[in-house]
Amino acid sequence: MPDPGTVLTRNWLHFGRILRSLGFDAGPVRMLPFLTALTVIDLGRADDLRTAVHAHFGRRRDELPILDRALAAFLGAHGPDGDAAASSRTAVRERGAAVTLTGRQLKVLDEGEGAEGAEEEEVASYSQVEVLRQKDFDTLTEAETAEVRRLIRLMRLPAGLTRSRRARAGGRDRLDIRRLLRRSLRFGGELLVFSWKSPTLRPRPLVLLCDISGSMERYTRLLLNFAYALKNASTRVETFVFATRLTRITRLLRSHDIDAALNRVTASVDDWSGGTRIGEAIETFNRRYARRVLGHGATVALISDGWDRGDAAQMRQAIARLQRSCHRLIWMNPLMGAPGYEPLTLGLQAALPFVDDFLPAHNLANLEALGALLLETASRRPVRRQTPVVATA
Amino acid sequence: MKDLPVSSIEDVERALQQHRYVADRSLATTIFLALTLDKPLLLEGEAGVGKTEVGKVLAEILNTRLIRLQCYEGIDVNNAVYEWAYAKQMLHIRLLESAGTNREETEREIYSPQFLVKRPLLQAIENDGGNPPVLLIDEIDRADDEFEAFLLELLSDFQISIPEIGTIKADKPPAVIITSNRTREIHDALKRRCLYFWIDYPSVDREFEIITARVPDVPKKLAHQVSAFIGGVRRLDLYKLPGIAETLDWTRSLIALGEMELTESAVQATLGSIVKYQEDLERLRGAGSRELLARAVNA
Repeated sequence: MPDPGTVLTRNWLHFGRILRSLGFDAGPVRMLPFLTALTVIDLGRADDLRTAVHAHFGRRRDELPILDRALAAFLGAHGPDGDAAASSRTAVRERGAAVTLTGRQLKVLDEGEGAEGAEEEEVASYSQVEVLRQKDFDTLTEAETAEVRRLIRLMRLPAGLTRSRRARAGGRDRLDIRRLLRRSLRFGGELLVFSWKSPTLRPRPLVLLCDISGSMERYTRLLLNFAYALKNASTRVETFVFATRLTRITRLLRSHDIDAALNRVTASVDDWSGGTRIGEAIETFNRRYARRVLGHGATVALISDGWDRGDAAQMRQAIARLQRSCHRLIWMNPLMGAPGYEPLTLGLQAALPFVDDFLPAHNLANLEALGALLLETASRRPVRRQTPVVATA
Repeated sequence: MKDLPVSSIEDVERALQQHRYVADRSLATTIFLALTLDKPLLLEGEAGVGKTEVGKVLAEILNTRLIRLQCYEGIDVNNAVYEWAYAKQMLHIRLLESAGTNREETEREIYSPQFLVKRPLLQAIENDGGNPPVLLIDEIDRADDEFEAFLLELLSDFQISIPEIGTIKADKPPAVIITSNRTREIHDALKRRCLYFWIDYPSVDREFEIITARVPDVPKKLAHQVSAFIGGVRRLDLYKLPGIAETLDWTRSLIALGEMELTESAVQATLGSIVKYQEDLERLRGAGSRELLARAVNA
């Protein structure tokens, strides 16, 4: 019979294994303080125990319920020699359920290879590239789509920069008194050489709100490739997609193939007939994410054809607010490629006064223009007129 | 284990209560663990739920100084750790010069601690004897990644190197509270160093306790109605839900206006204390708040 102390420890180490299997950081470095914590609290009190688990292994609020389930599963496994495998299996299943609640479609992403034959295909000649640049995305053949995607990936996109409050040596902006003094010592405290510092530049973050309903999907796919190219240019890109519901897919795009990720998302959107509710999606964004992702003066690019089935007044409110909380609001509309197109839908009419740039987005040349615009506008604010939002009851 | 004025979770609960901070037991537990295990405590939660207040109250409980570092975009070593008093140094150089001091000596002299301007982090590390202070690193989500990386280093060994002077190490590490409003996600590496706690909006009953603890001269009836009303507002889909700070502001405004209980006119006149966005105000004006009011008064 081992002494109770080791039984206790070994048992809780098993809890650590459960947590690790769930993807939590519960290595020895984390477990040791946790075990120490267990010695100073009353293990009989479930609430204290739960708090201790939260405090040690929680990293963000949404994970706390998963920890609760893991703890319940662990405590549920009977006795100190409880069946390890069984309880960990329970926990894994529990986690599956929890994740399902937050986003069924985002659960697993390893869905084969995303039909990537582009690399082997023959590289198009210059004139072919020229034609492709001007061709509407909607009329591309399968092979051309692959080629366009390859071209997008090859795009060299310098990041649009904005001034940070952090300073670096050099330039001619402000005196770097600290260095100035140190250098002056060389000359007996005489100020002969001046030292300067100037603000560092950092890439301005970009937030993409992409319509993936019906006809938009094709454009969005290519635009997301574009977002990916920007990301490689060290710009921080946050990506959201919406049809009827807004979904954040930034994390998905981080490590996985864009096409696989989009397939997942679109597969889960089942009520296409419901139509797009752009106003509603933007409002959800405003409420839930704006404060978090627009913090550092982000530019927002909204990609949609503006076919809004929602309420125009809501659209106006939402988009006005969105404009006020971002550095620059760009609306990219693929339909602008169609001859004789005019933005006449009610939703678009309501939204346009609050959009800083209204741009076409139907071919490669447009995307290049967007890249140039982002670069050019990163360091200065757009001139905006005050447009009153008329409240309609 | 250190000698702390608190030796159990119940102690912390009691101490918090004595200092008029009404909290759930889970917060007391986490504070207790942070103190016993010598770990920084990372508090997350919506704005105005009392994260900063934890630091202040903890300093009172531990009977020590509170050193607060407010983070902002671009905060760097000069603002957070130390800086040299340049003007003073320059004057001193002149003085030494007239006394005919040689260069090495001048340099040694002007980079001595008397010309060092100590910023919060250095102050927290360099405590000569006495109780270690409470270091409150407020709104870390406003600082940038570079600063976070620097903090990470600081929090692991509580020492700071100043090239001209040497390494300064804390003989007793301070109690560290870090708060974040979650305007961006804090890096996992930093979270790993800390104990984590999410402060939620309080329940209606809990909020009543908070109001009566913080605004002692509030009429009981008014406190009940205010907490019920705020509870109702938090169920609405607003851009910014009122925090506890707003509740207390509102209660004080109502008292200042001489209101003994909630009336429609009083609510309409003081809505600006609860919601701070024009759109939210629009929703609560008129019919929006009337229903909430009726429910709060009948509760």
